[in-house]
Amino acid sequence: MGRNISMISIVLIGFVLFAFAKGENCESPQFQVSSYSTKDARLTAESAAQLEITIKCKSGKQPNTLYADMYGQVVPCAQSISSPGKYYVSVAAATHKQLAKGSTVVKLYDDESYSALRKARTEDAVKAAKPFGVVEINHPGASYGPWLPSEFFAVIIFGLIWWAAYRERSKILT
Amino acid sequence: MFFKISLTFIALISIVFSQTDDEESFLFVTKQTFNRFIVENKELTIKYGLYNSGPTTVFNVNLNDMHSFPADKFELLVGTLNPKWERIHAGVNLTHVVVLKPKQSGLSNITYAIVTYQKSEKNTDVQRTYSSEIGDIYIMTSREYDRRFSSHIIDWILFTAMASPCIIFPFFLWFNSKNKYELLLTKDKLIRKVQ
Amino acid sequence: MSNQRTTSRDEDLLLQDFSRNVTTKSWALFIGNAAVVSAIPLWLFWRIHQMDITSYFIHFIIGTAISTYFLNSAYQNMKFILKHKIAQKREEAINREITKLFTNDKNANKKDKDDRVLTRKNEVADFEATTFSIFYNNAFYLVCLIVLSFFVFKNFSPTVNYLFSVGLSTAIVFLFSTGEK
Repeated sequence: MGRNISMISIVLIGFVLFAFAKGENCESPQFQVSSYSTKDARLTAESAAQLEITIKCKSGKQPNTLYADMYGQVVPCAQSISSPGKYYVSVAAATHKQLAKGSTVVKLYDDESYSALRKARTEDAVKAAKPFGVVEINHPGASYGPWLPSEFFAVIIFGLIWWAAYRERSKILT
Repeated sequence: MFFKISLTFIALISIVFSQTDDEESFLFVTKQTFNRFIVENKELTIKYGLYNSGPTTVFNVNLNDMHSFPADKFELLVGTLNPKWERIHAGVNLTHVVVLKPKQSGLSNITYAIVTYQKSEKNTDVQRTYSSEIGDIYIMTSREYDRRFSSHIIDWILFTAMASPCIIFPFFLWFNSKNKYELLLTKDKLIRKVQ
Repeated sequence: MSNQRTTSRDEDLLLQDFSRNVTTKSWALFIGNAAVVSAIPLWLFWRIHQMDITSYFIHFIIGTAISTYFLNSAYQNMKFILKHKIAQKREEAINREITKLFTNDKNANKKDKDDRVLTRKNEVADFEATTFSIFYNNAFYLVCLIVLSFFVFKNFSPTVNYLFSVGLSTAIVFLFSTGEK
């Protein structure tokens, strides 16, 4: 009887442990995103965009690796050694124009969803692979500064005044 | 006969193994800046490019660049100087962007970043490689950059406001006098014509 | 007796008409304007070229002094040239003006009227020439300065920029002030 109880308890404990092990995956993750994109086109020659994602899991542990589908490329995200739980994903564009303006959707995949994505061979299967989460990045565009430097306006104004004065002077001197 | 076959078999296996040893993955790391000018107190964007050239995945990639940008000379705005990637698959080209703000101006030298990675998950032999370096950079003072690039529209408006009295006032006086006498002339001419 | 008196008076008026001497009031006006117009661009150099006053003090003082002196001379040159032309143009109008004044007064003779006309012509021509000279030279100086400092010498060092812009624009204004066309 005693042995039976201990056997059952071991099996039960085993089940519980198994359940725990299975529940490793992050459940209902919440994403906190801080994004950066190049805004000054005169200071830099190329544009870059970067997302810092902090994931809060309701249960389960943080995903081991996170992949992001950013601007069409699926890349693994970097993690910070000093502050775990933060994931970084970056994109660099060769010219300022190439970085799409406005809001772009970035899909995040963890290990499971990523392997599902990799296995998918057809377009439909690729679309069906459910992402771990979805975040957004907003790029307001890189500005080149004012359209015309302000000294042009000053020169035009003073130039017109001088030209009017010159005409009057010619009239007086004729 | 059996001996020969086994020898060739062993030779073949060793060749295969040695081949896989040569076809190792190598991680190329480049480090460059996007800035046309580096100005103090303005953003300095650094891009690290990691490329896995080999046929296999590399694991536990660690990039450490904290020594290039000490905290007293540079302020970290975006990104981290110590990222890690669990695995980078073969042929993948990664980018990591870090944005800093230089606190001081003058000549400075930026060296390479140190990258460590493992060739396989089980084998904890750490490979060490170095990124390309940026070399000597000149950090402009914000004054120089402002002088060339910031829009001075307010200054120009104030200047125009200050300079206009010097121009408008004499013009006004002269114009009044001129008009008065020219009107006198034309008015008289009209009167003469009527008469 | 009266002939002598009138001739000396005529001579005085003629001399005044043709002399290059400026009255104290005129001189003060010219110097004041020249100083102000030379000083205003310093604001531009301070704010836009980021030349702080403490380090460029000497340059600014020298530049402003030279510019004031030559601008003053330019004013006087141009005024002298314009005065004659304006006097010629205003002759008829002033004649009419004085005639109107004298229609009510029967005591007037031609001599007085001519004197009045001459004085009035002198006054008006002086006034118009002064104001126009200041107006034109100011506008010309500022245009030259802006063009030189922000377009021609834009990429030179601030010192070179300041000295050359102020020097060249002063020289240009001074040289063109004696132009007759």
